[in-house]
Amino acid sequence: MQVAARTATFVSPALSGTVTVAIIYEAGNPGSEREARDIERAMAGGLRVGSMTLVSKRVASGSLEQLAGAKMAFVTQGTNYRQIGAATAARSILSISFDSACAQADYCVLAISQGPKVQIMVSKSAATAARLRFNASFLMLIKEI
Amino acid sequence: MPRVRMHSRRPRGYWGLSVAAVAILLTPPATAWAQSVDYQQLEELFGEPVTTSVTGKPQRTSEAPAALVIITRDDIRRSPARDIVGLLRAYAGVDVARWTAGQSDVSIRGGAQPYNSRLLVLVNGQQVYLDLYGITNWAGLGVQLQDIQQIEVVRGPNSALFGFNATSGVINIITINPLQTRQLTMTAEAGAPGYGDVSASAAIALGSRFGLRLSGGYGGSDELGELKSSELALITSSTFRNPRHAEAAAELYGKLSEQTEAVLSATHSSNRQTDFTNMLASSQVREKLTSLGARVSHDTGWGVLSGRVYQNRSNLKAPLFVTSAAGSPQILEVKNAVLVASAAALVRVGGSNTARVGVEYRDNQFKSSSGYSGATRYHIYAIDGMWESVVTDAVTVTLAGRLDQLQLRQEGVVDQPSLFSKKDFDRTVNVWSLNSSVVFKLDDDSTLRIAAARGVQAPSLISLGSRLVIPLPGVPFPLVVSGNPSLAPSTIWSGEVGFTRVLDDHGGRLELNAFYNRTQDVISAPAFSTTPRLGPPAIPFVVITPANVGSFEAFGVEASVAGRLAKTVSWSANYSWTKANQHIKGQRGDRFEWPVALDRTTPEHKLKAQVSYEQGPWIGTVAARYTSEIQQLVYTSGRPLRLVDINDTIAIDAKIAFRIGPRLTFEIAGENLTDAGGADLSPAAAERRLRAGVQVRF
Repeated sequence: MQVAARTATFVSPALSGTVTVAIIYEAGNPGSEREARDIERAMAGGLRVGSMTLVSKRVASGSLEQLAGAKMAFVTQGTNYRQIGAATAARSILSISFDSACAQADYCVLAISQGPKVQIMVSKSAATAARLRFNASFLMLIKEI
Repeated sequence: MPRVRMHSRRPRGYWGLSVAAVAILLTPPATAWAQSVDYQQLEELFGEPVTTSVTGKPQRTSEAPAALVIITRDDIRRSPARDIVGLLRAYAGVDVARWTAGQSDVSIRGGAQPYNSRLLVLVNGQQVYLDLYGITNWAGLGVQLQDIQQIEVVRGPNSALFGFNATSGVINIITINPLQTRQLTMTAEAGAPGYGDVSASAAIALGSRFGLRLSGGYGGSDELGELKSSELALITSSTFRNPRHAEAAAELYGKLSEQTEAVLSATHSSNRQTDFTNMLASSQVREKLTSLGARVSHDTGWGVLSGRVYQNRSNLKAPLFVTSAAGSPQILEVKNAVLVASAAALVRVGGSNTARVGVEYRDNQFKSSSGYSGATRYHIYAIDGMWESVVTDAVTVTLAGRLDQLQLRQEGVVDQPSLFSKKDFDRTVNVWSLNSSVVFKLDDDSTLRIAAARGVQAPSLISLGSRLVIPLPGVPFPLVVSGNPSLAPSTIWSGEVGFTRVLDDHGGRLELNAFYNRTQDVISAPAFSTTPRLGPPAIPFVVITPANVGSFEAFGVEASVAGRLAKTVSWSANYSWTKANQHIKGQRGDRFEWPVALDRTTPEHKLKAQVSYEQGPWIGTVAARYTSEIQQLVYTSGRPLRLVDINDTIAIDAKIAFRIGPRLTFEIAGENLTDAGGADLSPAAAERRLRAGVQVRF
């Protein structure tokens, strides 16, 4: 979670202050709901990263209009990536998934996998659609597709 | 990583205002966007440090195409070392020689020698290596341990990025960025024999767009007992003075825009110490170093544009072994000024390839109170390039090269007696450097690296253009210790194979390296035993000069492993096997004409291990080093150069630190607790050193 949150410090337009982070889940999907609970628990009380305090907000995939005001979104597995991709891009939201398929399909801006080594993937198309840019040094350290 | 919390309670009265002011100054910083490389954020993001010291491009430690060690703030916090060279000696392939209490040299992959010219040392990418002598004065870097974000140690040549003198390796000391880290620390230590040190480091915010780093330190200790009493005693003075150093540094960081960061820096240091020189004679020196610099970087989104200009000035004074009419030693004074300007563009090409193009100009000059009446000076014009291509997800190829043109000249009159005329100084030297590598990603956590490099070492200004006339008692002509403007740069070819595996997500790492390097045209200072040349009959004199004296090769293996046990114990161990050979002219067995014994001074076996235990407010660390036997070459007045045996040693360092509350830490530490005489590789026996200290942190 810390890793995912830290990626936000390399994005432009810069984020600062209290940042609302949507946790998008699929109601009725146990895997998605479990992942959402884990993320929510990790951010309980606000997650401090750099000058940002990340505050979570659960958003069901069927109520994407509730994304209003969010600057970041965690996209849990089992949700409709295509629909979420369109909704987050329209609101210029930094969308992050722990499923690389979401970024590979250009629906999520970022995908993160964490074994012994942290691997980060950025979808150029999804970032462009969301009107987001990343620090060039950061992009040299990750995989951009 | 140390972090400062803001006070949440309402400040009251003067103390409250002070707390509020400190809290504002130490407020956590803004986005990392403007900073071209945000070392702290990137380390926390990837779980491993990031470097730009290998190719100029930001790279994770585990993916860099070189044998790389990065010493982090956590490593420094746990280490029993009291200074930077003490930190460095814990790592594979690194030898640290503390010749005297004040003078140290660091060598990588063999070839330990006083005034080691083969290692390039930088602070935030700005050279602190002194071109004048071709050395690094570790007592005058202007960096306190609390200032350091990380120390990047690249083993092997890296001239394609950094130019001359990055031949055996590069050490780049990265200090904290006050736009990213806020701190205020003060440390005081005292110990035996005669040790004392005070230092302070502050990183504060000046509004939302500026940050200031200020630091300073003063310290000293008693000189090594054996150095004062043995035949290694000064030939220049009968009285040793104990080493002292004072340093101050300031850096102003500014975010000029969301994409642009600029830094102004200034450093001043003053130190006196006994040096064991490259002529293998000891000398008392006083040195003042001043540095001013500016650098800027701009993130374009598709790459990073950067520029830098800095000037380093040094003023060195040393008593000569000739006396004035009044009978007091004459003082040799040497002044050096180096101006460097460089610019580079680092560009992403496509989604995964990277290119870098850079240019550099260098103006380097020196004058000496006993040398030629004009300055000896060279200009260097250089262009460099790097291409990194991700051929497939599993294969990355990097090719980097650099061309340097060095234009030497002597300004003013070439005073006589001298072997050389002004024409001899009018030289242009063109050299090229190369770094190439192929990195295979064996799986998500393992890489195999094959690399080849050609590095270049420039003759120092002293070796090119110094001149010292020494009257010889009872002889009608003088001895001239002279530079040699016809010296060629020495070149090093290196090849290596390396394997790196990340073992876990909290610092566990395995690294294996095998290397071979060969240095040609080794540059040597003359020794007083060097066969002199005769000057022209019209003005008779004898002269000794530096020369290119032969070749040196080293090959070996390095194995390092590090990890953690639970959350409380961190450990590391490494082993280095190095075999060195040299072919130096005039050497017959153990008889040396030139002061070069790089093969004898290289330990064949080194085994180092460290264990740290952290629990609550306690930190305890024990570090042990085994070094196999070596020999050091020494000169004592009136005798030929001779080898001194230094037995194999086991040295143990340790410390215990206890934190009281969030601000106060007490520490006791000891170096060389086993009192092993050879622990520091010096012909003067190392001593056990104990200290106790306190650190206050806001």
